[in-house]
Amino acid sequence: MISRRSERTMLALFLVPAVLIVVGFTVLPALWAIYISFTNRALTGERSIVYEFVGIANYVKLLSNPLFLHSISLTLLYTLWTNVGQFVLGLATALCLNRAKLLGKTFLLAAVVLPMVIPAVIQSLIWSSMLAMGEYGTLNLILGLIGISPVMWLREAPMISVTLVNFWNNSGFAMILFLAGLENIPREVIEAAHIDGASAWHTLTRIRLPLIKYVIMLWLLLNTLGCFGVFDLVYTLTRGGPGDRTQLVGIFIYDQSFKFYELGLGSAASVILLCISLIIGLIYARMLRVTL
Amino acid sequence: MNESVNNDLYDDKSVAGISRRTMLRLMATATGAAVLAGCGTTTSAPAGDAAASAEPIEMSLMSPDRELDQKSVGVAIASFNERMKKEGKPWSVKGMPGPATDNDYNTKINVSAGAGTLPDIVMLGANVVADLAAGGALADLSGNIAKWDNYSHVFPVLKEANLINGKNYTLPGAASTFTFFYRKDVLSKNSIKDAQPNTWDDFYGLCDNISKAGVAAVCLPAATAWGGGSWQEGFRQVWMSFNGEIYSDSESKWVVSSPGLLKALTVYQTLAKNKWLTVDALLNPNPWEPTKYQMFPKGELAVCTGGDWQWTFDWGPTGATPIDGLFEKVGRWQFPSEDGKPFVFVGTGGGPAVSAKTKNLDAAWAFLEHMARADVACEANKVYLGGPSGFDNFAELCPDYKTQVGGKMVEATQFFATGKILRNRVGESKIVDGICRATEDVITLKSTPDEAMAAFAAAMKDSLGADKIKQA
Repeated sequence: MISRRSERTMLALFLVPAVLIVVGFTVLPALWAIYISFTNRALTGERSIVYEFVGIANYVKLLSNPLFLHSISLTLLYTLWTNVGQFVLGLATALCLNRAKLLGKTFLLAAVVLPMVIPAVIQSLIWSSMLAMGEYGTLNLILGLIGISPVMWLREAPMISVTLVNFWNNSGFAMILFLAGLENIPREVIEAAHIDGASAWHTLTRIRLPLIKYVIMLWLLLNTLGCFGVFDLVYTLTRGGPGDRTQLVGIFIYDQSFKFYELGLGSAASVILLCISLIIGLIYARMLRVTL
Repeated sequence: MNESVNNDLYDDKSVAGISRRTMLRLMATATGAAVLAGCGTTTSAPAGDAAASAEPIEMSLMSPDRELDQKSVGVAIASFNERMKKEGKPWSVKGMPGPATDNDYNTKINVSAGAGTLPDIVMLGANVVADLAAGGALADLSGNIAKWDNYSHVFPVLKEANLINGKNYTLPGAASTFTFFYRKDVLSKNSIKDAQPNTWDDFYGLCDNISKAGVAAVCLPAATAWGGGSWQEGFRQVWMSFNGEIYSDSESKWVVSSPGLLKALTVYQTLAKNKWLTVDALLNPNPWEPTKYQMFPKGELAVCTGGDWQWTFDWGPTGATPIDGLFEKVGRWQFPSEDGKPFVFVGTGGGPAVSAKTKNLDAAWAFLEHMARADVACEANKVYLGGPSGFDNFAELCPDYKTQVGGKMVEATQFFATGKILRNRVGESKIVDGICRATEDVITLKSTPDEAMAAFAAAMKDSLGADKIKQA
């Protein structure tokens, strides 16, 4: 018989590979980024070799930089609209699919989930072609068939375009989670509500949603953090432009670090993003009553 | 009920029987192990040791992942590997395609250099060489070049442009001449004379006539989406068309505010305000696609800037968007200037370079020398000829060269003697980024040229440092 102590040692040993990976590829780079954020290190040029400790200068510079503050506010807006849109779409689809008898249920499920299996960069390239300017864009070609003039989507409504593409990409994830939650609600509970005269709206708002609130919160946490760190979709679609109209924090950090080669400044922006993500994570965790 | 289940799960202070203390110990051990593992990598053999070994040495070569570039470099790699085998030398080269676009390629190069993993040999654009050299990422090739037989045949202007603080970090010989390219057929069809515009007013007159004919007038690369191209194919030349410095050699400072810079920005404002410039296309994520690959080949755009590669890479028979009857349909104008003397810009200073961390500089140099050999270049040119040769004897050694690409490359060589150059200096990458932003603000009419120049000066002071800039 294995003693309690041996069992704990065994468990700890099993965890070693995972912990090593997390420490090596997440914790240490994060600590290194925090260190770099207090220096003026550049990726190229003289300051890539000889760099100095500059204290909180990078943070002061960022927090007084209108472009960075603009990118934070854009990211918050993007997160808000993405969460609202995906929640509505994901929940609506999940409710449809939760019905016992639905014609084409499997097809609908596959259609909603399909975008999730396409790599983000490929999705962005597909949408670049869809939203291309003038008569070269697929969407404009389709609109042309019904007599609507070509629209420069990524120039005239870049944030809306990016957000809508995100709806398409990720609503399937919300749907899967919500559907899993809805499927777990005992059928008797719903039937009892119906017998008591609850309308469909009341059943949704008083029974279904409260019973899947942990699933919703978990999705919200993951989606919010994903939105804060979004890069590939926006970079491939607009590269943060035109101008700075889609320069979300992820793009700002990339530009500072790998376009302007200011590693110190880019790292400081990353640390600020990390802090914001942590705060949001803690708030959600508190709402979920999870102890971290 | 669900709530209580969740609370029971999450309120437990231990996870699966492992106490928090055990977890902390585990993490501390793992951190220590990871640090030790990281430190361990610094104890590998010093770079030079492998050179002494007779073991086969395979060098990596990075170049942009563009079909024609890869094919052309592939010719040199194959002949080098074959030659080394015949000569019994243990050296070989393996191609390593990098990202395709200039922006992404430069980022990849800089990230690799920062991580100390730059391939042995890298093909570099001129605007990144000085910064990479200052960061200690590139090997100084001056000694090898001084002993190189072919050096005496390199055009003097290219030798001069290749020097960074008196040293060579790339193999001189690669060059491209930059001008306006215009659609002769489109102008002729609309009865617009295609005389060389000597001043910017002449150029504006042409743009106005083209625009009145219902054709998009000009694509002058600008804004952030085009990245380095906004500088290399556009702004650099426009700035140089006005009198005054861009870089002060005597003070080693970039000029970030001057009458010349203001006039250059005003050119962009004039073109944008009059709707002569393809502003919408320039704000596209890949602005060269709607302009150079769609509108210009279709004759919907009359004028655009660029270098010699456009004859082949963009519009040649195997290029991105071939133009039938290219040489009859497309002509070149030199850049207009303030003093009425048009000029060609000779872009050079980039080319193959060697990583400072290469295990075998001799082998890498042998490859560079091999690439520049007339017989190898002549063979590679059959696949892709993207610019004029920088060697004054190349046409004699490779007779085909005279007639390749309709003789356009030989024609371009004549500008080496009279063309303007701008040497690559430390900080150019930042100047390029600043100019991208400034031109974007101007062509979108978000800022006046004055405002854009003030913002540019402030940004450059911030990123280059007050001691590296001057306001003239």
